Amino acid sequence: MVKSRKNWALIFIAPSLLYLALFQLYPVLYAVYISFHKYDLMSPPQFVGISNYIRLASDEQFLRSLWVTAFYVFWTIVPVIGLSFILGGLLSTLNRSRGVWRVLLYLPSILPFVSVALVWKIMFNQRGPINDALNTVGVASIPWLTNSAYAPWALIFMSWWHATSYYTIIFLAGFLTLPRDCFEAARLDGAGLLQTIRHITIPLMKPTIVLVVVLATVNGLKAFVFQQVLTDGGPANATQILTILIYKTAFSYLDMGRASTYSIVLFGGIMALGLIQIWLISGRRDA
Amino acid sequence: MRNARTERIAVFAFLAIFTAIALFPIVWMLGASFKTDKELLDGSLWSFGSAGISNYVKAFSARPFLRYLLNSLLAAGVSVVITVVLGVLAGYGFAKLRNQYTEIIWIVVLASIMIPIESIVIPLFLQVHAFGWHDTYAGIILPTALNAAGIFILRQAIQSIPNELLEAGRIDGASEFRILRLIVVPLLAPSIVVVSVLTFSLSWNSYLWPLIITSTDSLRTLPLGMAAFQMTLNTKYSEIMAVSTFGTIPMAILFVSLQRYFIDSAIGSGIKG
Amino acid sequence: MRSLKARNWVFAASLAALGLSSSLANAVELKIWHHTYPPAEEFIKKKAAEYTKLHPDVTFQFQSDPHGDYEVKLLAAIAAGEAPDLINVLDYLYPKFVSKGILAEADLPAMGVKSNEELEALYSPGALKGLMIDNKIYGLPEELNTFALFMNKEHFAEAGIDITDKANWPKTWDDLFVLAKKVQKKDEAGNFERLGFNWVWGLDGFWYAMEYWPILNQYGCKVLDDAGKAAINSPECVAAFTDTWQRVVTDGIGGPDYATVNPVNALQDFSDGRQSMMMAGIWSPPLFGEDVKQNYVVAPIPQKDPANPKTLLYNYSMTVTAASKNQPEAWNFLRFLTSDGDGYLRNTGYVTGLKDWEKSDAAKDTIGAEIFADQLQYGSYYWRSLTWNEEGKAIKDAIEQFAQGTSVQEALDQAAKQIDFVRSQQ
Repeated sequence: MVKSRKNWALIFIAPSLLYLALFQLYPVLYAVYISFHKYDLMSPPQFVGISNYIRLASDEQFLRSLWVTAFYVFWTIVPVIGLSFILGGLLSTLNRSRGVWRVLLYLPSILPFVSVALVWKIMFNQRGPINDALNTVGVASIPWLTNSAYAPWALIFMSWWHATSYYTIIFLAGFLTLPRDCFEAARLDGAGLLQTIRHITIPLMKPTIVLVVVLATVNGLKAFVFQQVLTDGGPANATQILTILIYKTAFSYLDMGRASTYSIVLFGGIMALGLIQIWLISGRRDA
Repeated sequence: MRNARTERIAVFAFLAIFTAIALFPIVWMLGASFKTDKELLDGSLWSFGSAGISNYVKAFSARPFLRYLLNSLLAAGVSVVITVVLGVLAGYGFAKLRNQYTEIIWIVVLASIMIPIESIVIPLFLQVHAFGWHDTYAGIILPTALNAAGIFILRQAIQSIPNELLEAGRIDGASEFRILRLIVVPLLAPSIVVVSVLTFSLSWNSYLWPLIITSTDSLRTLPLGMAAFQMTLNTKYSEIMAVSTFGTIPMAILFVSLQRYFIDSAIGSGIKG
Repeated sequence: MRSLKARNWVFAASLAALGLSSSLANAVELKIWHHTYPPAEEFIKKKAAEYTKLHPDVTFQFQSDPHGDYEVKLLAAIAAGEAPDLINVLDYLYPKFVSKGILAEADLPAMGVKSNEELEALYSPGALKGLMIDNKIYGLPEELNTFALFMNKEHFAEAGIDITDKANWPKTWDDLFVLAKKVQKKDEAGNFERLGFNWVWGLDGFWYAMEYWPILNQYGCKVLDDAGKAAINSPECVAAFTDTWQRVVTDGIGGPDYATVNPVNALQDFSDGRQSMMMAGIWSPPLFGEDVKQNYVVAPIPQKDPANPKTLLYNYSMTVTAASKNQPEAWNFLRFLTSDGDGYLRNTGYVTGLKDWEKSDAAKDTIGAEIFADQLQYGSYYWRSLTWNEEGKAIKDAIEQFAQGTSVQEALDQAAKQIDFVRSQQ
């Protein structure tokens, strides 16, 4: 009986496994293979050993891109977590009107990415509404997308707008699972609001916080469309995150070996963070 | 009491500010799609445009956006079906028929959730072209159709179904297929909708893969059509906004009708773990 | 009875075989890929229909993608063995494409000529040069071009300058910048209402090169030296960029911050009347706004040394892929298509570069055609390199850097380093 059930398990899982092996695992292994070759898509790959990897250390485009990626990912996470935490927490204190706020705040998440990118691109224009608004309060226009100092921030601001909406809802769900009595008890003990948050809310919400941090990191590393549409990696590579560099190296420079090497680095980074996520989630379940 | 009221007002004010920020670009996009380019750039934020629907008319005559829409719907629909069917099967296998093999395979599923399409797009492209799927619907849709996160969510949902229910079926001599169909699936309905919504939006936003695998214009999906339209010489900003608004409509309809599940899907992609 | 049946069968089979072989030999579908430019699309489709009338067994399938996506998709399709028959390729990509075996050598008999010399004689001097490698021709010009200076008549009239008078045209870069300051307009707060002049910003490396390449030539600056090492940080190059590109920014004439950039439409500010002068090709007027369409003047681009002019030459060509199974038909059609120089100029604004095109009626009806014809003779093609895309990108990055305050020398040093790095990896 048990033995036959084991076989059933494999039968049920086999279609998905085959699918993932074919379209996910195999390409990853193939990317590893190409990363050891010089390959231009037209002529057969030539084996070059680990020279593509050695070259990374002196590849300034790549090193710059790593930094740009890290900067983007870091700053897309930091204020968003705090803000969505607060918004989610406030929403959880409401009763009747919660549904309406929730829908309105979630709206940015349902726009197609390309629409979002196009709208912000025009809003960031020299003569766009953001600069108009700044001008009316007496601030000079800011060259959002044409200056290396501002362009990374323009993309980060936009990601705040886009991501806060999504993570607020996740935090809200987390808050709703918290036991009410803890807070009542704390209130009876005369604990202040900040104390309650620090000693009760944050520890209880830790799993959700960790989850959002990891989700935001992985999503930040996987970003592509916003950069592609708004700046195409410019000006002067200021927003050339890894995915953009991979795309250009592969399809504009026709250097599949180098592009695959970049890909493996990106994949390695995401997997490492993913493993942390798995470890944290399973750790939470044990607790 | 007064304290509680001021508190409440403060909360509403805070939420109102952020809601306004969340909505501003959307409202602005809608407004801009009815303006002329001159009106759009002259700094008048709240005036109504004089362009009427001319931007929409121009965009639709420049490119076959309805065709793009149908392609996107097809891709999203097929992805949903594949993810739900394979996901329910695999989810049941992982949740209720665990053994040492399934534990190892589970790692593969988790890894698949993490793989960014950007890092495998080149090998996947070569492989799909070896299948002869370059520039076909199969090539656009199938390689990215199975959403591994869907398997994850369905497994979590199935895990919460009490074993006693399944044992009852087994004692009656039902096969595992029957148990899945008659006992598990009916209980899964909400999670299936959640997975569908999540997969649908993922597919709806898919950009890089269809860009690389299609050459024929009539196979393009909506995001590609929108991006190509904005890259065409002498396209006007206001026309771009019309197209962006159009691209939002199907999602908005889906969102309004399935609102609860959308929000559960945002939550489901994480919290249910 | 039986034999009759058998004979019928044989008869039918041989008929079928005949039909099959004749259809194999004749029915041809040529796939044409072109970058998105609606007037050209319409024109090519029209010519294709004419060709099908003359050769009923040749039909066409046409597809276009915007400039950026176009090359990505083209390469993907070629790699996948799905190469179209006829493609639209910029001349600077020829070394790379030919070295990778993508392009087919011109089929002279299919075009009705006997030798390269005979084909070249049909064109303006040098028109085919950018499309030749090792004395072999790999394509035909569809758009042979140089850049000229476009000026808005009305804006100058407002500033009290009659720009239709040749004497008022800027001869040197210095003249240009002085004029730009005269014609620009600012509001009380000091914000630009109208720019006098600006470079293109925020576009790809090819776009930037169209504007800096003539200047580099005027200053004697070379991107690569004879040994193939980067020379873009030489004193000549630093002077070229300092006196022209950077000066627009440092003098407060323009710069990236003031450009209303839509990544492909570099001409938006001029087209909408927010800029008074720009550099562009003969193809640009159809993109102008209605007000500007009535009001522009075309002049030669400024020079460092007006007595010894140097300009840009580029060629957005049409060519046949090596993977095409119908190369003779494709070349034959290409010759048919591009030999209608008049039709091209009237319908698309493209100069196909056929000999004496500037004397045609279509040229007489085109504002500035004589300027373009004159300037073409001083033109030179971009530097040739297998890694042009990366090198062009490095220079574009340098420009974007010094436009934001990095010193020109430092920015170009970095570009040189990047170019050498890329070339050393080949």
